[in-house]
Amino acid sequence: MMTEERLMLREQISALADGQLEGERFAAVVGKVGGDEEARDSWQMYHLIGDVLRSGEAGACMHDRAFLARLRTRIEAETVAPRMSVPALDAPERIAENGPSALGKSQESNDFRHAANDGAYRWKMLAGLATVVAAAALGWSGLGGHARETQLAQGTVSSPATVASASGSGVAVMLRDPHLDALMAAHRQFGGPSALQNSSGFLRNATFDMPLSRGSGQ
Amino acid sequence: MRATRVMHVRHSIHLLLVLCTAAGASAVLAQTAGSEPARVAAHAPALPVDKDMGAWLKRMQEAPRRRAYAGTYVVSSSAGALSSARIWHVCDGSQQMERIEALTGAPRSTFRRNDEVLTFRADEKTVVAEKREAPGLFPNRQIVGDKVIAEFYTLQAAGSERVAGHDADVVQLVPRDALRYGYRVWSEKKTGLVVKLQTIDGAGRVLEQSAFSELQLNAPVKMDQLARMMAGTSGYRVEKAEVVTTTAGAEGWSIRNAVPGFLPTTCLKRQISPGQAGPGMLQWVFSDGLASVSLFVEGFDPQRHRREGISALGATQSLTKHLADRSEGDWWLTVVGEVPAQTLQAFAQGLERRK
Repeated sequence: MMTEERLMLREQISALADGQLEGERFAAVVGKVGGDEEARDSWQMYHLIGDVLRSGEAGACMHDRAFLARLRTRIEAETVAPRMSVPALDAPERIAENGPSALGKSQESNDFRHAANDGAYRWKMLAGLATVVAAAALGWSGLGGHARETQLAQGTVSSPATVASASGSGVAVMLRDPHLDALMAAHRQFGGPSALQNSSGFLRNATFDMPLSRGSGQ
Repeated sequence: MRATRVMHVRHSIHLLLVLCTAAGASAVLAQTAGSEPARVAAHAPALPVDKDMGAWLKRMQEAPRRRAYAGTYVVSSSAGALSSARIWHVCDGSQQMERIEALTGAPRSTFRRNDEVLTFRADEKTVVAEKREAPGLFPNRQIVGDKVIAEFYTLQAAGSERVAGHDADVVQLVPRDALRYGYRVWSEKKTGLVVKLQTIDGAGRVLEQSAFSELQLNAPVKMDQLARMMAGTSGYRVEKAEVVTTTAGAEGWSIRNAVPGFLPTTCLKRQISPGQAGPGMLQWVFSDGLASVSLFVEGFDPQRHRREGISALGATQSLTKHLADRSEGDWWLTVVGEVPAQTLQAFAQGLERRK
């Protein structure tokens, strides 16, 4: 069993790997990584995951069965509990009421969340995706992201309209709104993220997962 | 902001080097450190592209017109959502056809013949029929014009990379202001086909990425076979969303302070859900040639319209706002677009009732 302290250390190493720690906290974690075999393993693991995601060229790792086996074991052992309950499709009200308080509960991880929101990526959060992406052999370079969204979206990989606020105002709203889903779909009809190439835009829009039940908004 | 980010990454690299020493350097760690600068390449000054932007866009636009290809397409957003689909594309010079079989989410097949789109939902035994506004490629480029695009974006070459086994040129479309996102585009060297696309925010983060993970150019895709499949609607209920073309003026709306670079491209009255009762919703679409924004206006319903605010999903931002109107009753505005939140706010503030 993994102790609370171990988990904490991994969080810190993940933040360190993203260059988010400074001053005393930086020194403390560097000290731990330098003097602890297991911490050093974690440090390497986060970088390997990052490497696979970023470059798509970490061939050495991808061919290394032992590495993959270790990675899988680690991912299984390390499923991060969602910071916030994932809203059910039919309960937007509940979320509307509970949203702010539920967010409040995630304050314990505030340091990391805040740091990650600054732009760097917490590979740990994507660890579950790492094997998927590696298997797809898709070249990834510099995926950025909001850790908060990543956290929120963890249980909802196939629910694109699980919406997390990323506005600068700091107001975090979480809603699963079928009406908004429908409007986003209507908007996508006109080119989507970029009319850069209609075909590409069209592929993107058709590939984007639709809400599981279209009729629920009425 | 940008400078901060660069500093930040440099700092990270420094940390990595320090830690390599601290934890015992390994080839893997060195490689990680080495790959860091690639992440900020978007903001390093790149060589200007000699080619005219219009010519470059046109080449990409025409690429799928002469090609048949099949592949697997993957879309991912910074929120962690990962969607993929199997794609077949064929073109005989005058007609384009496409089949898109979703591999994630609800099972569905989408067929497109030029501007005509059918989406089959096997689980619901329904087919949704839609018309694309502009059958051509780059619909908004034609309306907005390359000159406007060049006024708000710069084109930079960013080397070449391999995507799905194909050599591709990488170019960046860097926005000249903060009202739009940037793009990194990988186009296959021989054909110009876009094989990978990233949407990048002002801090250099990739908000959304789509790419072929596997692509077969000149694949033996048969148009008559796709046409037969597309025609196979028996046993399905066909739903057609009613769409009526209109003008914002006729509907009593205008924009007070135009958002720089964004021109109105189309205005519709439409039913959002097929079979939905009541008057259609207004959809007013703007584009700067690359990014687009939709303004949806409907009558205010206090039961349904409760939450004003801004939300984000990957590159797509949405804003909802209650518009008070003493003479006609209130309105509910939803603005959706692949643009920064402040752009949506500018649209929301500029929208004006003229009736």
